[in-house]
Amino acid sequence: MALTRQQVAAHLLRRVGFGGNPSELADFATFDHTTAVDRLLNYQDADNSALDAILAREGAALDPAKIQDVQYYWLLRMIYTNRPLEEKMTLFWHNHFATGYDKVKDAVAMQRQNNLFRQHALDNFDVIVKAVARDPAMLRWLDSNTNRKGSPNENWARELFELFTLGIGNYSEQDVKESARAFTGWFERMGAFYFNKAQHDGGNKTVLGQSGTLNGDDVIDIALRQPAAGRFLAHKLITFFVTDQPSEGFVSSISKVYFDSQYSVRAMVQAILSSDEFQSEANYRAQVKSPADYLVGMVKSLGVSNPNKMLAIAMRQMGMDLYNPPSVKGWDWGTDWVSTNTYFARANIANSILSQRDKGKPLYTDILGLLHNNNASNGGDATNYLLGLLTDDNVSDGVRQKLRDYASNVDLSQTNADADGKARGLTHLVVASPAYQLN
Amino acid sequence: MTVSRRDFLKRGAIMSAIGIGAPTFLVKGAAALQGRDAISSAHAAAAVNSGAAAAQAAGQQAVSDHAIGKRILVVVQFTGGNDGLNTVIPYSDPAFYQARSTLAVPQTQVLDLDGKVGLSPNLRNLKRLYQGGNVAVIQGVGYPNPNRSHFRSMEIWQTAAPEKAGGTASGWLGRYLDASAADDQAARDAAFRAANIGSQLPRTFWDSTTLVPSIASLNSYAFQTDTRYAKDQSAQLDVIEQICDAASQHGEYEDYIRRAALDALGSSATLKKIVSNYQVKGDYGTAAAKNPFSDGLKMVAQMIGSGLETQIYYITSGGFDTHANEKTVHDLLMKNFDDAVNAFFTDLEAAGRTDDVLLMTFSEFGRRVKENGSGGTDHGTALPMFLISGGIRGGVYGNHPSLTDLDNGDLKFNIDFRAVYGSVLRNWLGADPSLVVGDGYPNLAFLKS
Repeated sequence: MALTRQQVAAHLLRRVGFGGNPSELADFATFDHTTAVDRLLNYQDADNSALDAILAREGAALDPAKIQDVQYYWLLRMIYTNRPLEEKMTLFWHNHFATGYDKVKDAVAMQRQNNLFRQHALDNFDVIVKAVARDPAMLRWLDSNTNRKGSPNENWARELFELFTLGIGNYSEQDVKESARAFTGWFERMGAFYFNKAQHDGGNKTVLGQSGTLNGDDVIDIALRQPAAGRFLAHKLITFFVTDQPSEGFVSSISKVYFDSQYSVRAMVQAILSSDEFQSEANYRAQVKSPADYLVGMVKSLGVSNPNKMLAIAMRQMGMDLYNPPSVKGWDWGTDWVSTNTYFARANIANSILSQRDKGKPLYTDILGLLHNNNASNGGDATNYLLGLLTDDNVSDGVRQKLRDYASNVDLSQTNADADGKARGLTHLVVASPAYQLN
Repeated sequence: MTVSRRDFLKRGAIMSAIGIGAPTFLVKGAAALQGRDAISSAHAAAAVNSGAAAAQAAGQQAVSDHAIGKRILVVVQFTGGNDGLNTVIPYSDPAFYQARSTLAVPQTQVLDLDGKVGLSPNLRNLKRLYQGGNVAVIQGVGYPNPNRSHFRSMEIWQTAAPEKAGGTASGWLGRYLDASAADDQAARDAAFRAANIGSQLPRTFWDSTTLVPSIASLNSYAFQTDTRYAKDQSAQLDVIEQICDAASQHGEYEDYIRRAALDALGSSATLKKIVSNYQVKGDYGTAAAKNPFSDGLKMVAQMIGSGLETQIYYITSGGFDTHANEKTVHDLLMKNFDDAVNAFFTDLEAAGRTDDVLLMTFSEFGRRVKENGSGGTDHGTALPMFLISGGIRGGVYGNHPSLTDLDNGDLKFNIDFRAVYGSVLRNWLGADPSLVVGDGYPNLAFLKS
């Protein structure tokens, strides 16, 4: 059965952002795919003044030196931005050039790195890599200040090849050693990049078959020219947006875009979002929601108000401590997000949010109001509304009936404690369901 | 299909029988491995106490020790590449002090073990356990063609299948759980044969059909409901179980998630019932100390102390990638480990289980012999492993790798880690190692005779 316009819109907003709120979903259901992709890709044209106002208001009480505040600041962006792809790409780069606060220990530097990712989100990849190679948080993360002439530290050189540009098997240990020499002297000083000429090994080096008095930028240029580089980035982007089992043809075609466009990430993302694979039913709801997708999506769908730093704590409990990926490889995506433990984290965080009945308190949701505003005043209608809103109606008749039965022993047309509790319980069950975990 | 809550207690390997399986791209098929080439006998002869006869005797005598609920294995993973040379210190070799002019612990501070090597001064409790005969130090553990990438080397240690690259190999403990469940009804029926302490299941258990819950804390490991609508709790729990049990609409990922949710719900009920009454005796530090490893080991102590039948526990300790500022960082890591193990053994003693529990440490690699320019060390190769238990014969096993005859600046290994795994499987768990790590690895006779 073909996807409805509503389902395609929901799919697009989930993949390109963190899900759509009801009004965004209604809007996008009226666009054809090309228009929709265009609108999301050209986010620089989207007015983000509402977000700016929220950031100014919330930001006034935040301390840029506290990592939890910085995490919360980013979550506000994810929730309230009118440029979802901008935030999603920022998250992509954060995962790709995974840098951990636990070692960097400088929240301001982490924020600056985050700004770098946002600023260059769809830029040309060589521009991005060269900027990251000079980023103070990254320099500190990979011990670049200890990469000295005559006594190189291979940390950055290894991860540059293994995780950022080429992938295992596409370079040798000797390449790593020589590359480290090329980056000697690339230091961080007082929160800024500083080229320490005295510590730089200006001698002859050979990296990936090319010789010369190579410096760091030269090594990056050489690496990005390799056929493996195009495939590596293509595979990463496709996995992020479409499927973790891309066909050889799909990877090749996006790799070709990489080379044809002088490494334009924008061109690659456009090709990916416009592809048949992206729109195919096989890839619809064929990802697992990351904690960001889960939490931000829930907040947007249900209109959770009074945002609060607890959102940052919730992310960590679900296994996605922003600015603190588990290793330089980033997070493990897909089914790795859901283990027995994180299943409880998700269900319990949702329970905690949905239990909030006090209008003035943090993370308050008016579930009954939401239902009544959408003409759902009995168990059956409430179930139908929530399943449509939250799972694109992708549950079996049996599950639907169980939820309807659960919700039907209370009069939901009322606004008393029973109706309120039952409505919250029903919503909790839907967001704790396996179906809701799919992206 | 409605399933009562009691039915959850026996899920485990039954999952596949009622139509819920792992996504096909995760299930790798046959658990049996290809045969392996025997490692060089030169390595074997030089390093290992030959123990074929002892192994056979041990296997015949201790059948009941291997029953579920008796012998327990706690695997401790040091994540990041533990500097073995700063853990088990070759203080009697002058080459060591030449290579590490600032990092090497002075001879007088080393806690001697055998006149040649000694423990880091931060491992005082471990030294005491060693003196009691409860610590086996296995030196020079590694594998051929060492890989110095965190991810690749950790993958190798967790899968014990280096010939399979790119994430295609199953986990070694996953293979053990499946192979042993095949002919052991008690194993199949156990609600909790293995538990991972932490939030993400390591590759070590991948592709197994055995339930291995990932438990970050006992309180959080439960489906919580709205406390202000408590009368509905039972109804909600029933519905969520039924929803998770219903057929998937969207294929493989949904199946996987349903399985995880059902496993969570069922194992949570079991865990709560069994563990709630046990109070720990050891000192695992205060909440302010923020030692997640200690918190985790405390949970293991609770689970063992309460009589849970779990046979395998897995716990990780992170932060070992000491490229810079190693002295401060590694000292603290060693101390945290030492304190936690001390508390753990206090609980084991109180529960009378010291002879039943074996704690095994490993890391994805050791570190280079020569210190780098930033007070640290870079990725290396071979390293020591600890086996800690009242039920073993303590001592230093194997020779320390040469500090001068190196492989590109790194230690050459003497004992393949698969020999250690195989020995634990054979001697401690009474399992056939060939189904998990293959044939041809020498046996380390570390059991108390």
